[in-house]
Amino acid sequence: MSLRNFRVWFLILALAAFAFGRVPAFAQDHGDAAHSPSVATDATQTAEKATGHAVGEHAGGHETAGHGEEHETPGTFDPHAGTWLHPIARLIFGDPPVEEVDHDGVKGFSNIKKDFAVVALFVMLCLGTAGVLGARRMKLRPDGKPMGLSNIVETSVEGYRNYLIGIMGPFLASKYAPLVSSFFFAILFMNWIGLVPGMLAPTSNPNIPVSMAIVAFFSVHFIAIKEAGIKSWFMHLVGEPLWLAPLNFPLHLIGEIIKPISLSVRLLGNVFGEEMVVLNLALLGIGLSLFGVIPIPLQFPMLCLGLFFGALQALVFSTLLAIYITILSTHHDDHDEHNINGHVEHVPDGHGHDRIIAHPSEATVA
Amino acid sequence: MLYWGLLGLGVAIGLPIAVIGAGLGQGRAVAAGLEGMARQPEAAGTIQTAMIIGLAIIESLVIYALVMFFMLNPKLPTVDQATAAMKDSAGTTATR
Repeated sequence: MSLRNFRVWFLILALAAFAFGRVPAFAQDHGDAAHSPSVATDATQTAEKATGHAVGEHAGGHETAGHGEEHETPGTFDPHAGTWLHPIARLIFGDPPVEEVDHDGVKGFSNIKKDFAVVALFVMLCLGTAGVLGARRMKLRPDGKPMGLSNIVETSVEGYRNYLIGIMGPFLASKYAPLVSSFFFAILFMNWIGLVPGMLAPTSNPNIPVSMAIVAFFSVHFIAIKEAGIKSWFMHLVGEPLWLAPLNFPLHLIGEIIKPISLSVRLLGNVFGEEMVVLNLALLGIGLSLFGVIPIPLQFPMLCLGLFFGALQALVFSTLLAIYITILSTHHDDHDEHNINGHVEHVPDGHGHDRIIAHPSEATVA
Repeated sequence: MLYWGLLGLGVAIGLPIAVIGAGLGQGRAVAAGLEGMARQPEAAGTIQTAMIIGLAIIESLVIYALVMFFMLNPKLPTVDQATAAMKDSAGTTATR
C-alpha cells in the first residue's frame, strides 16, 4: 500500500470528502476574501456554534435583535447549505447573490431553497442519458451478452421487471413496468445523490415526494378505470356487502385519499431524517476534530445506512404503487374465486421454476 | 414557560412512544416472517418481500412521528429566549 498508488489517494480523498460532507463549505463569490474562509476554518466556526461554545456571546446580540428577524426564518425542510449546483439554480431562477446567514447556530446561505429542483433535474438528465446511451450503443460480448453500460442498464431494468411480475402478475407488469420502474430508479438516485458530499437529496424537500405521490394517485385511478372498467372501479369503492355501502364508501374514499399522503410523507420523512442525522453527526465530528483541524467522519456509518435506506424507500414507494395498481385493476368479481392453489398463483420465472405469488386481492395495505 | 415546557415534553417524548410501539410491531412481524421462512423455505422470497414491505409500512408510522418532531423542533426556544422569558416571568405569574 504505497502512496504512489492512485487508489490509495482516491481512498484518502474519499474519506476527506466524507469528513467534510454536508458542511456549509460553499463559499460564494461575494467579493471580499475575508468572507470566504477556507473549508476547515469555516467548518470549525460552524461546529463551535453548533456545539454551543459561542452561546454566551450570542445571547447579548440576539436579545435585542430578536432571533431570526434580520433574515427570513427558514422553513423546517429548507437545507442549511447550498449544493454544488447552486450557481446553476441562481442562473435559472434569477435570485440575488447569496449572503451568509446564521440560523440556530448553523451557518448557511440565504437563497438555497430552489437547489433541489436543479438537483432533481440533474438526476433525471443523468438517468435519461444513461438509459438512452445504454440502449442505443449496445456492444455485444462474443457470447452474445451486452457489455458496459448496456449491461448495467439491462440488468437493473430487467431485474426490476421480474420483481414486478411477482407482484402484479405478468399481464399488468408487462404493461406498467415502465411507469413503476421509472418511479423506482428516479427515487433511488434522488436518494443516493444526497450521500454525495455537497449535494442534496431532492426527495428531502416536500415538493418532490408530494408531486410524485400526486402522479402516482392519478395514474392508479386512471389505470384502474382503463383496465377494469369504471363499474369495477366504482364497486371497489363501494365495498363487498352492498347493504353496507353507506358505511364502506366513505371509508374507502378516505383510504384512497390517504394513500398518496402516506406515500409522500413516508419518503420525505425517511430521507429528510437521514439527511438531518448525517448533518448533525458531521457537525459533531467537526467539533471533536483531531488537533483542531482534522474532523472525524462520525457520519460515515450513517452514510452506509443511508445507502441501504435510500434503496429500501425507493423499493417501498414503487412496490406500494404496484400493489395499489394491482388491487384496483383486478376485476372485482375475482375476489372470492379460488383457483386450484387456493389464493395463490404460480407464475413461471425464466429459470424453470414456479414462483408462488399471493393473489392481489389478498393484499390489504394502506 | 408552561407552553414551552409542554412543547419540550411533546418533542422529547412523542417520538420515543412511537418507536416503542413500532419496535414491538416490527419484532412480531420479523418473528412471524422468519417462522414462515423456516417452515416453508421455498416461499422464502415471497415472504421476505412481503415482510420488508410490512416493516416499511410499520416504520412509516414512526416516520410520521419523526416528521412531527422535525416540525416542532424549530418552535422550541433558544437558550437566550428561554432565559429572557424566565426573567420576565420571575416577577409576574405569566404562564408563558
